[in-house]
Amino acid sequence: MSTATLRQPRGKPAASAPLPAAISAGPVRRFTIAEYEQLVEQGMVGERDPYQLLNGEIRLKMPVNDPHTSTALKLERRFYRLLPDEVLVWIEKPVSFPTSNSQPQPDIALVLGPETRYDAGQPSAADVLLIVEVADSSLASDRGEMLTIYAGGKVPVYWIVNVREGIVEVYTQPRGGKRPTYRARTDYAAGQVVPVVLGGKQVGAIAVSDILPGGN
Amino acid sequence: MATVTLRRPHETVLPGSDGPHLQRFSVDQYHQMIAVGILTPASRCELIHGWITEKMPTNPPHTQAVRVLNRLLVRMLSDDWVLSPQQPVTTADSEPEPDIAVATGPESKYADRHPTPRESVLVIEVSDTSLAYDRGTKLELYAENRIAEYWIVNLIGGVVEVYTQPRGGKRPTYRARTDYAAGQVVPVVLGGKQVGAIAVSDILPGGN
Repeated sequence: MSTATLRQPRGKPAASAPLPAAISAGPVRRFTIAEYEQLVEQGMVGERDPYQLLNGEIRLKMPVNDPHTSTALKLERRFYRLLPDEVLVWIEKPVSFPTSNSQPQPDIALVLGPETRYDAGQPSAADVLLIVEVADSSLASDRGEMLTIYAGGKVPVYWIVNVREGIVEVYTQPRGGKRPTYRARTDYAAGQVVPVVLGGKQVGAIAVSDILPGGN
Repeated sequence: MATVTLRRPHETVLPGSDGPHLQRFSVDQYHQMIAVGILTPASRCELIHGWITEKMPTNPPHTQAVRVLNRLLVRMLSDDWVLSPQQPVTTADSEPEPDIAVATGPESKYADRHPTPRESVLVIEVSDTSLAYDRGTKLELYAENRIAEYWIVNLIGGVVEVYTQPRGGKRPTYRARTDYAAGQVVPVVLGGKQVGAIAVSDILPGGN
């Protein structure tokens, strides 16, 4: 990709573009969650396109395609049926991970209620019981950067609904430290059911074939 | 249930062309961030084509070269010229902070704003680890903005690279480049007129 030679008017620049190699000798400046929220409040981020903060970098949220949307919707409905009242279903809303300067918007986050708990601010990692990312083109990122952020925040259970391979990858036993990760991974395929485990207790199960394209 | 060992995800600071897309900011937004204190002088940032980047930390040889250049230019320049070390130059979409910039006077013009490229007649970057960047992105940025004279004090190569005749277009660049080595003198040309000269040996390490 050639280096940028765009003539920008003094207004807002093009919302975003991939960063050309060697745009800078130094790193791109990273922001804390507090600074990011201040920018959002000032209307400098997210007014036109959806953004999220990942490891201090303000990144465009890539648009999702139809299988992604319908899969997320199917999951959402099934969660609502299964969950006790005190657990909220948080759809594509910001969750703060202070230790990694991140504020992603997971496809689905199951967070501790009641709703009034979040009147003054976003949920943070400690409030989260389970996160789901529906992964199509984002698989590498969901298994990579996002996994690291969620493990680093000690989210107990992380699901990747892998649309391409038709499986649900369930990651558990988060481990922090320099290179956060999940110690265990179990995959569930069509014909199998995924246990929904919150706070160490199973509250129900969801059949893979019910949520993935090509299922019944 | 098999336990899978997960590999450390690959981390990139500057993503490639198919990587995640970073937000870009306008000059006005950048100034707003400075005004509300999100960015401070201690942040050591520049705005380059909308991306907020951190300047590389400097080392003593770099600082010394800037110091010497500053001293020599101060003595050489009349009040017609304004000398600013490591201060912002504001373009349409960027705000770099060259190591040295000379702008047209009077000084009072800049009481409440930074010099524009049109007012900046000479820009100097002292380069060691940032050489590729100073010859690449920075050079294009200064050429695109028609800054007449651009020097790279190449600490590694031991030369002062003088770029002149900026040209815009799709790939902005300087049409001419002349290198000066130890023992030679670099003419200081402002607004098309030579106002003095600087001996390379005075500014490069190993000089007096």
